[in-house]
Parts: sequence; structure tokens; C-alpha cells
Amino acid sequence: MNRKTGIFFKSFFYVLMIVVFIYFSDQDSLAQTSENSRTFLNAIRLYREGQFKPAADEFLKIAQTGVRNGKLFYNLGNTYLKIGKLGHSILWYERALKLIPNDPDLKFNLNFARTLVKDKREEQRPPLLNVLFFWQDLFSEKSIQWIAIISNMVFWLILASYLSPIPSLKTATSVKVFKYLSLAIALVFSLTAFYQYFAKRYINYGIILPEKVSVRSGLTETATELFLLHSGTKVKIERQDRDYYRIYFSRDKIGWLKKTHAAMI
Amino acid sequence: MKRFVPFLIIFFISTGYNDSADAIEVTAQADKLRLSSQEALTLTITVTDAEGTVDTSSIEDFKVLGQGTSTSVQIINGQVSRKSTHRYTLLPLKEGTLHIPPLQVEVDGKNYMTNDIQVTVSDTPDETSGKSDHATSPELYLEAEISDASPFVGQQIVYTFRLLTAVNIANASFQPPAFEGFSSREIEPHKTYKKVVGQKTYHVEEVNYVLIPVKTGPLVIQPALLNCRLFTKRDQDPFSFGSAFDNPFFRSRTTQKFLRTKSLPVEVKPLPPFKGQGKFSGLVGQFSITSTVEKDVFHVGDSTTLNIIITGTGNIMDAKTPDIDLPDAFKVYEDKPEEKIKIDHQGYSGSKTFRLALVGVTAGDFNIEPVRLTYFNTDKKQYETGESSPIHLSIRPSLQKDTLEVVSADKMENTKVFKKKVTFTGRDILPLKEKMDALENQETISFGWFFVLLLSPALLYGILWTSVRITRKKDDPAIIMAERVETALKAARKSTNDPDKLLSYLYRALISAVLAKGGMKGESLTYSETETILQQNGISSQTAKEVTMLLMRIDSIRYGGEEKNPEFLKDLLQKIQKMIERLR
Repeated sequence: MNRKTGIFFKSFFYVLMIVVFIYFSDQDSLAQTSENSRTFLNAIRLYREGQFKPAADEFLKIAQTGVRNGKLFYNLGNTYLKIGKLGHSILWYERALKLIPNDPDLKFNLNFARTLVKDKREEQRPPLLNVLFFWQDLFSEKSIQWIAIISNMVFWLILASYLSPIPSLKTATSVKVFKYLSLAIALVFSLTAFYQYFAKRYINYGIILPEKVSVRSGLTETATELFLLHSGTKVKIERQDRDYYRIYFSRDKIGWLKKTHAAMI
Repeated sequence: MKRFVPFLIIFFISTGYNDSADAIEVTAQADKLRLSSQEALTLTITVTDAEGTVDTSSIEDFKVLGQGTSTSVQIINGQVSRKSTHRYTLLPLKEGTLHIPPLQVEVDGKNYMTNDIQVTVSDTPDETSGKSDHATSPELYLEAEISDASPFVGQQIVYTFRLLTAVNIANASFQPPAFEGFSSREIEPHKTYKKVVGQKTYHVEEVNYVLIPVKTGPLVIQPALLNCRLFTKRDQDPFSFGSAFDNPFFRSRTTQKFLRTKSLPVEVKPLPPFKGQGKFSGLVGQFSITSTVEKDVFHVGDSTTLNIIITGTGNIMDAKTPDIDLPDAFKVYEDKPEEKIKIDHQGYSGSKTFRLALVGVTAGDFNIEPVRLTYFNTDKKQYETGESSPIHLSIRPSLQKDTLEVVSADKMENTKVFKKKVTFTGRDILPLKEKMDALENQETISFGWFFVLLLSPALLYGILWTSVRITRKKDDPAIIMAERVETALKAARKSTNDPDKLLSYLYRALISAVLAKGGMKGESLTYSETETILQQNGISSQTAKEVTMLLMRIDSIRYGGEEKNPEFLKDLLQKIQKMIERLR
């Protein structure tokens, strides 16, 4: 076997390995999808029959496989609300809101669930950046990212067209308008997307899960109880230390609670 | 060798951890498996060779109170082992065989489950433990009662919790029941008084809640819990007689106490079906209705205020605007209702006033029929209807000479539609989303990929721009001529002492600049060619003429025998430089 033949067989072997890997990984993914479909249909049947607890377990199984879908999270919110677990319900609705912020059913159900929360919402001054990026709630995170990428691509394509030998492209008014429009959109949406990445990393919100929770002055069960929060209340999680979260409810209501008593959105 | 010692230590320690990382063990252990309903047990969850987060939310049969977490590290024969221990106090919420389900412990993103534990809780104190709050500490006990164990739905009842103490306690922490199935409100202030039971005088702390059942059927008010430290006397030291420390404070020690009340069953009865006339207001309790009017004689265009006042005890806050039959002679404007509701040991009571501004439209005498209010009387256990007294109103013609303009639709009175705000008649959530697209992953783009996708068009553009520049440079006449302009200008600046050379370079620079503008190669141009090239490439005819004039000037100096004054030539050099800048 000469050297060229050796290289050929080696290359063929690597390509074959890649194809086999892709094939099997696809098979796994297909099998998972099929299993999820069965679980999903079963969960819907259980919900219709009024068996909300098993339905919630089924929906949760799908979520635990790594599926991040606003509609799935919405269904989890509905099911937990039917069980009477208000905290879990609002948690999943809030998670869904990040993915499908304009869904009218979600807004309706979340508003309904919020009316059941015992704690009256006190002022929670939104971060300045939240005010600046007020339009971010109109689009899902994914939409914002793709709008930024595509408009940015359009802007650079227009610039690239200037390099072509057709001089009229440079001077055409419509091309100029598109150039500035795409640049403006790209800037606005890229900044929004960067802010969202920042917020996801550094600004965390959580939902109180148990019926009633004592917020304490320190990181022990014997620390002074400062105030009580109830299931479904949304709090800002400022930081975490051992088994505790330091939470911010309003300007004068800050304290520590156990990590198991709140879940991050 | 000494340099390697720290690395070896780190290696051995890390090896020890790595070996043990695979052997993470999570166990749950209760300190007792049989106990009375008045006792608490301690649940210890041990995580070996790691630190974890325990989720106790699945424990439903017990009230869970955390005691704390401790971590210990042991090094035996070079092997490092860690153990973190989480302790919880569990208070049973009912009697029977209770269940501590497997608890989820999260360790470094992985979930482990503890073992399942069954605990038997009896109503009577456990003989083996020999502990009972009543048996051993009759000087401290709890009471809980409700004012009515079989109320109607919507009827308010009062829940009373009492703490009776004949000894000193400290750090008392009270946890009221969740009151599931009720809307609850605490009555403040709390009551404090003394009470004699048998031979003992107790200090009583009483806390009351108003409860309104919101659903029918059997409900259970779960136990209220009290956690405190109880001062107990130490045996007196025979040798400390007369000591300054021989007083009750220094002779006592404290012990932790958990107490709970009994669960209270409540049978909530549905309201009987309403068969009377009119509409049931939804009020449950004792109520009355009255109506008053600010003035009963007024003129067309003037207004008066009609007050409908509902007073009573019960869910007064739920009162809605009653149906009022008003003649068409008025325009009606409804005001926001005014509530004066207090909460005391009898429950909610007070009044709610509905105000309507009536503007007279037609002169005449009119009667406002009595306003009726149907409510459920919890004392008589039946529906009752109260009504206000009728009101007579007299509207006089307008005092103004001009008749009041009352705009009305042509003969449309009979089809008049009163618009009302749409209100909810029932509350529920919207249904599930059943399409299979709920299984598609809507994962957002990771920050790294987003950054790459955002930057890559700019990068590609950069590559494209560079390659275009490189390829164009080789054969683009505009670039070649532009370079020639730079070379000629540079040479001209160096030849200020040699007028002939200077003029020759200036001519070449200017001609090259014109040719560069036109995108063509060449050495010389006529004046008319120069003007044509410039004008065809967007240069104004004025500027083109100025260029031609400069060229003529150079030619006339070079070939016309004009004196080559150095100052004049410097000035010419500057003018040509400026012109070339303008042409770029």
C-alpha cells in the first residue's frame, strides 16, 4: 500500500466515523423526541381527565429532558395552578413569558394567577437599563437576537455592494435608506440583546414556592424573622450564600431565605 | 525535591477527592420512628464526600423547621473525606402512619435521592419516650378553637389561638395554620390577660383570625405551631447558699419546646338554593339597607346625590351596587363606593355607601322605588330581603330663560341601550396548548455564538474590502494616476530651486489628478479634454475652468518666456496642491 492509498483510507475512515456518529446521535434525538411526544399526549389526556398531579409530573419530565419551550412551560403553569401550587404555577408562567412574551393566553393566565398571590406588590424600582430597553418585552429573546444578526448582516451586505463595479448602487436613494435603516435596527437590537445577556447573568428574579416563608435577618433558622412572604410572590435575588438567597422585595424589605423556598425564574 | 513537595500534597489531596467524588452517598435518618402528635422528630440528612442542597418541599405530612447545616472533614491515611449534615425538626401534622418521602439532594448539578422513612404518630403520648407537653409541662400549653364548626360558605367565623404559660419562655415563634379553603385576616391587637385554671395562674396570649370559608365540604384547619425556649430550674447547688448568683435567673436553664394545637375539622355547608324573587346579592351575615337623598326638590339641569347604604356584619366588602329602578327623567352618574369596614372579634362589620349623582332632565314629580337587598341571614339560616324606603323627588323647570338643550335621538327612546362595563361572571384559566410545537426547543443563542454571528459579516466585509483593494491596485488607472499625482507633488516640493523641473512636475501632477478623476491613463491633455473629463465626473464647470486656467498658467511660464519668480512659483505650488485636494 503506497502513501496516497494510506491517506485515502485514513480520510475515508474519519468521514465514516463522523457519518456514523451523526447517524447515531440523530437516532438518540429522534428517540427522545418520540418519547417526549408520547409523554406530552399522555399529560394532556391526564389534564383533561382532571388528574392534574400526574399531568404535571409528565410535563415536568419533558422539561427535564432539556426542552425549553414557552408553550410547554405555560402548560406546566396551568397544571400547577390546578393542583393549587401557586408558587410553582407563577414560576413556570414567568419562565414561559421569557420565551413567548406576546402570548395572550399566557398573559391572561399569569394575570389570573397573580390575583391569587397574597402579598401586595410593593414598589420594585426597575433597573434604569430596564426602562431604557422597555421594548424588549415586545419580542422574545430569540427574536431579538435574530433581528440583530439579520439586520447587521443586511447592513454589511449593502456596504459590500458598494465595492461592486456598478457605481449606481452607491448613489441610489433606496439603497442609502436601507443602509441607515438596517444600521439603526442592528444597533438597537444588538444593544438590547447584549443587555439581556447581561441581565440574565447578573439580575435574577425568583418566585416564592411554599405557602408562607419567613424572611430572616441572617443565614440561620434562628435569625430574627423580618417579614413573611407568600407563595407566588416575585422577589429579586441579589446574591446567594451557602443554602440561602439574599432577596429584595422592596426598598425597606430585604432579607435572607432558604434556597429551597424560592426558585429562580 | 523541595520544590515538588507542595505539588505532591495538592496532587494527593486532589486524588483523594477525585476518588471519593464517585462515592457520593446521601442518607436520611430520623431520631425516632414512633412519637406522639405533640412531639417533634429530628431528621438528619448526611451527604458523604460532597456538599449538597436539600429540597424538603415534598414533605407534606410534617411541618419542617431547619436546624442548620454542618460540615466535617477527616483525613485518614492520606484519604480526605468530607461529610455535610443537614438537620431539620419535623412536626407531625396528623396522626397515623406518616411518610417522609425520598428527598432530592442536589450535588454539583446532579440529583441524588434519600431513602424513604415511615413514622407512626399516635394521638397519645409515646410511653417509651415518656414525653408529653401536657404531662410534663402543664405550666405551658396551647389551645385553639373556632366560633362555629359548621358554617355556611361565605359566613365569617373566628379562629382563636391561645398560649397559656405559667413559666417564663423566650424566643417564642408562632406559626399560624395555612387556613386552606378560607380567606383569613388576623385581628389586631392581640389579647393578653390572666386566667386561673385549677390552682395555677396563667398568662394568656390570644391571637384571633377572621375566617371566611370559600368552598363547601369538610375542611381541616391544620395545627398552629409554637417554637420556644422554656426556662427550667436547675438543682440548687448546696454549696452556693448565700451566693450572689443564687437567684432564679442564674439557677435556670432553657430547653427547646415545640408545641402544636389539634387540627380542627370544619364542615362548610353550602347555601340553600335561592327561590325568592329578585337577585341574591352574595352577602352572608346580617345586613340592612337604607337610602337617602341630598335634596328632594331641585331644578332641571341641577343634580342631587342618591346614597344607598348597606350596613351590617359579614362579608360587607363583597357588596355590589344594588339594582335601582330610576325614572328616565334623570341622567345618572355613578361614583366610587365608600367603605367603612372594621375588623374586630365579631368579624367584619361596617357600611358600604353607593353614591349616584342624578341630574334632572325633565321637570315633574318622580318616585324612586325602594331598593331591595337579598342576603343570607346566618342567624336565621334563611334568605332575607331588606328594602329602603321610597324617595319622592320633585324637579322644577330650569331657572334659566333659555331652555335646556337636551339632545335626544329621533324617536329612538324605546331602543335605548345602556352600555355597561363588562365584568367577569366566572374565573378560570385558559386551556392547555396542545399542539406538538410545544416540544420544539426555543433555546436562545449562546452569547459566544451571538457574538460570532454579529461579528462575522464585518469580518467578511473586511476581507472582501482588502482583497478588492489589492486586486484593484494592480490595474485600476485611477489608482495608478493617483499614485503618480503623489509622486509628482513630492518631486515638485523638492525642486523649488529649479523652476523648470518644478513647473514640469506641477503640470504632471495636475494632469494626473484630472486623469485619476476620469479613471484613465495618460501623459497629457488639451484644455478642452480636461474640462470635459472633469465635468463628466461630477466636477462643476467653474472648477474645471479654474483647473484649465492653472494649466494655461504653467504652460505660459514654461514656454512663454515669463520671469520665473521663486515667490510666484511657491504660490503656484500651493494653489495646485489645494486644487488637487478639491479634485479628490
